[in-house]
Amino acid sequence: MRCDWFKKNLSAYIDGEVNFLTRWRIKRHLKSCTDCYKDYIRLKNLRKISKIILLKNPEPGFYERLQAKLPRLNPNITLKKTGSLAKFWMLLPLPGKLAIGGVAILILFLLIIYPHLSGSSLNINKFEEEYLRSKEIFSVVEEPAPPLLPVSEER
Amino acid sequence: MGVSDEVLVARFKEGDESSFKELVERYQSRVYSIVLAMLGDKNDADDLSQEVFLKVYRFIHQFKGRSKFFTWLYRLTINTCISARNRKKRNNQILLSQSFKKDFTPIDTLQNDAKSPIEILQNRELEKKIKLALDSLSDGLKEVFVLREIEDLSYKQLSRILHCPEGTVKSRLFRAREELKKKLMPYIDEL
Repeated sequence: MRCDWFKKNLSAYIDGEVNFLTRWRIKRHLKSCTDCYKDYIRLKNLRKISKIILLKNPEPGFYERLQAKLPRLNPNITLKKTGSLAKFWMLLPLPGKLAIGGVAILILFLLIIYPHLSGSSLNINKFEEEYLRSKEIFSVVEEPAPPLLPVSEER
Repeated sequence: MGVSDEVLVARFKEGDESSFKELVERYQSRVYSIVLAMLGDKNDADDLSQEVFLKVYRFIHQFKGRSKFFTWLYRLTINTCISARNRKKRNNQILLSQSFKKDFTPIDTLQNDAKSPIEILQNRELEKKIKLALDSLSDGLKEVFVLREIEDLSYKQLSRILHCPEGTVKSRLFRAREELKKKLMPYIDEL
């Protein structure tokens, strides 16, 4: 593979933004190509000094200077208060929000839509079985009891 | 590890100003560094950094928590820098010549490491060269380079802040570094 490809990916390699295979290829190439290796070192040095140059602190008293400019007395600027539920919802991570939303949809579906989909909420077969069973019970009960035979009075 | 940004924002929305102060203290250096790198002028950087936090104070209700707070903050910072830069261009102010004539302070870290006056002078020279090279980059390249070097943000995070695909972030960083490398070759070779 030509050095152009490696040099183009050196920047992402230093940032840790290449996949495993690319990282392995570049690492192997750097061991054998002095030109690309020099480029790699230059990029690393550039990163090192850029960080030193770029990271600065503001003059002391930054917040105090800012505070003087804050529109504290301006009645038009009011912070909107959030309720506890809104706060909870805002702090909840996205998977939690999706899970709660899914459960809410499922409950609504089971309560409202599902009964209408099944046609009738009565189980006809079970009802019929119970009715017939109850008839059998009653049919046994409905036969008159045999008359009692008189006990002989001979003693 | 302190309180998360989301909790501070929630408290701030309820009117707790100490949470706002904590957010400012947490991000003031980073916002200031970004602004200074983008504009190159120390005095403007202080004013503009404060403008960024004033916008946070005024428009925090617009932040719905769909992204991370720092993503929103850095987007605000970059937009503020671009507006300020365009304003200055329109007023025909030459940034480069002005920034190097005013308040030039040496790099603290390098100065602490340097022991001799010659080394201090060399470090100042180096800082000047780096700032010049950085100022020569176009806005698009500078934004991505500054955010990456200051914050070590991933390409994914950068793409969210800058509203461009990850491939664009990768190619802009590559081009920015190539340009800086060409201009600073003698200096970075010596390190």
